[in-house]
Amino acid sequence: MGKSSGPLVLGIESSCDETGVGIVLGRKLLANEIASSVAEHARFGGVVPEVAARAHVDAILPAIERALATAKVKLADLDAIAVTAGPGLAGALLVGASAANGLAAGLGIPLYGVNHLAAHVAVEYLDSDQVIPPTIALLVSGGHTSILKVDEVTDAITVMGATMDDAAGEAFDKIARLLGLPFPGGPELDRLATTGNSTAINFPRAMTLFTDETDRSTKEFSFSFSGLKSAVARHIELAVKKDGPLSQSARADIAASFQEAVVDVLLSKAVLAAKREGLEHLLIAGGVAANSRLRALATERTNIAGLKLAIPSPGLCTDNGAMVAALGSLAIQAGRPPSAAGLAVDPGAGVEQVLFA
Amino acid sequence: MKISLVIDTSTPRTIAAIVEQDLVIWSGFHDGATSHGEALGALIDEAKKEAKFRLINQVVVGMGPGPFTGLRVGIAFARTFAMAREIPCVGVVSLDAIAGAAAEMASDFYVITDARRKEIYWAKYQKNGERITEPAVAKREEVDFESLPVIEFGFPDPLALVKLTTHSNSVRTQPLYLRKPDAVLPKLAELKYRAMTNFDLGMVLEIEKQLFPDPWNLAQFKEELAGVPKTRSYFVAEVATTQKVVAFAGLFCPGGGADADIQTISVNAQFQGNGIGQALLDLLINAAIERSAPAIFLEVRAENEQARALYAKNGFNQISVRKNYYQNAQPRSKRSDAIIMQKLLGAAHG
Repeated sequence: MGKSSGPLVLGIESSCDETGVGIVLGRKLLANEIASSVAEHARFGGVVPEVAARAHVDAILPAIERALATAKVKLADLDAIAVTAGPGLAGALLVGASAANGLAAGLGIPLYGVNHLAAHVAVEYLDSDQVIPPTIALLVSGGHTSILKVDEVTDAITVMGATMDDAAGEAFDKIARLLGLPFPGGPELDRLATTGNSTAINFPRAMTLFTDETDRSTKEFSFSFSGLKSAVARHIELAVKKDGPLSQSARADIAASFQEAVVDVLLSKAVLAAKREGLEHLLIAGGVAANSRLRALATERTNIAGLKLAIPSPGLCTDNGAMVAALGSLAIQAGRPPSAAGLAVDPGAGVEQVLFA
Repeated sequence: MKISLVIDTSTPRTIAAIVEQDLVIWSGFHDGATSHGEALGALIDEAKKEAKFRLINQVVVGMGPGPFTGLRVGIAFARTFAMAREIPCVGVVSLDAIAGAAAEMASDFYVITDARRKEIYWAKYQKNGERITEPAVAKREEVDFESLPVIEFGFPDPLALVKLTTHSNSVRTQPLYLRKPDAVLPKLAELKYRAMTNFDLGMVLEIEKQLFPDPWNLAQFKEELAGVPKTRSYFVAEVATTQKVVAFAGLFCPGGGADADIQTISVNAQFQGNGIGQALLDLLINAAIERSAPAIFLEVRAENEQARALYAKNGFNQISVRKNYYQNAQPRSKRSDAIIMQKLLGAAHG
């Protein structure tokens, strides 16, 4: 295989409940294999760290083998290994990092520990040869909700704002549970909402603002979903008290109205951030970027605002190994140094730390 | 000529070595219970400097028992290293490599290592080093060491690990966790106890189906909740952070001098053994006292020894047996007798 088109990188993602292995050649996506332990967590109504970590140990070798087969490459062909080093669940991250370390040591090739959040952004640049522009990234998933200013995806990312309580995806999961939908509730709620009226209930939009006039940057791009969550819970409680168990259409209306409130706030702030920074590009990434209403409204709002919108395909929005390989590959092409063999994972890593020493 | 890369992360010591036949040609270790990942990477960097590193044709890894997070570091590394080199990876019982390195013993003996949470991993060995029992985890005071010698908190020996690869009793393909994942599930302090509502029923039914061969259905639970607060008290235990219900309990108590009856106490199997059943039982007993019930009754499956022990500890006495009480259970083999137990309340209650 010719190396003229960039490095051949295998990426491993294990920060939560998905074991992902991806392979890229330069910016070309060759394989993206995912094994999920989501079914094992369903009964708990949330991810159980130890269950996830055990599942990673079992899933990781088969996932690597499948990725190699799909990409039609051999381990010996690889130029580098990339792995998520944080943020994420400590025990889960360690399995991926150890496996990546073993591969790199066995093959005698460099290892790149990369940031999970930055990888969600980097995946957008697969299978395109565009010059990567400075961009505002709205990152929305079960664990994260933030607005990032991405000047250079392998090096310079700053957080403009993040959630002060629940992540957007978490709020989706919790409201889904109140509506009696199975875990993980996000996609189920999205489906239910398609049959509902999004203006049926006027749930609050938490437009967190600056705490004082002297420091406008403090909260302007932050999020808060706990008030909305309580409002929805209260609405359901009152409705049940008044009319008994919720009808299907009442549930659909609640789902649609709640979803609209979340999506409205996310996009208002993301668009505002782009304008404030004078950037033309808005990228939306993370698991919630697969939400159909978010995608539709994002298209509408960016059209009005004159912004260029980028959203990875739904399969690349959720946690996966391809995004890790993509960021690893971009790091190599940008001439960044690899990580040390004793790569330390950091469960609480901030997105400012794109690559790990 | 076998040249083995040896790795063990089952104890607070991260161990790496290169062993050629019966000779340790390089070894290194790092002590620290929480940094196996970084330590192993640094050790392997050292090992790379050995000329024989590129000739390694087998990986030998300790499969535990050991604390989960550290244990997995060694196993995940060993497996992918072997995959990369296209060489075999053999897992062996780490405890056996502590026993194997022990000096000639005069009698049978025990080997124990730290399992954290005030528990130990342990196994019994013949004086020649052959393991007699399966590795197990327990509180130290619960193990009868028969006054035999105990090798405490030693470390697996690299050469012994390699020797075990030809000993079928010691070879393992899966990590020896020995504990269910509940070991790291939320602590009791992070659980919240509150009244059950209709919103909890989805998770309640999951637990019900998990535990009982003759589970109640949704309609039955709804009917029970309809009796709250007049004749019923129902509680759940939920994980405070995720709001996931992990246990529930219910009491029938019509008041007006009538006896109370415990309808159910059910704890998700993965959360059992954490005192949740006791906490729920306390809530039910209190509810019965508040309604001035003179006594509290319950039925329990004859073979449910754990539950019977809990009730006995709380002052419940067996008053009769109902033959073939659980007759709707599927499969038939699960049908069984009920033990009726009673606890008198009133002035004497504690």
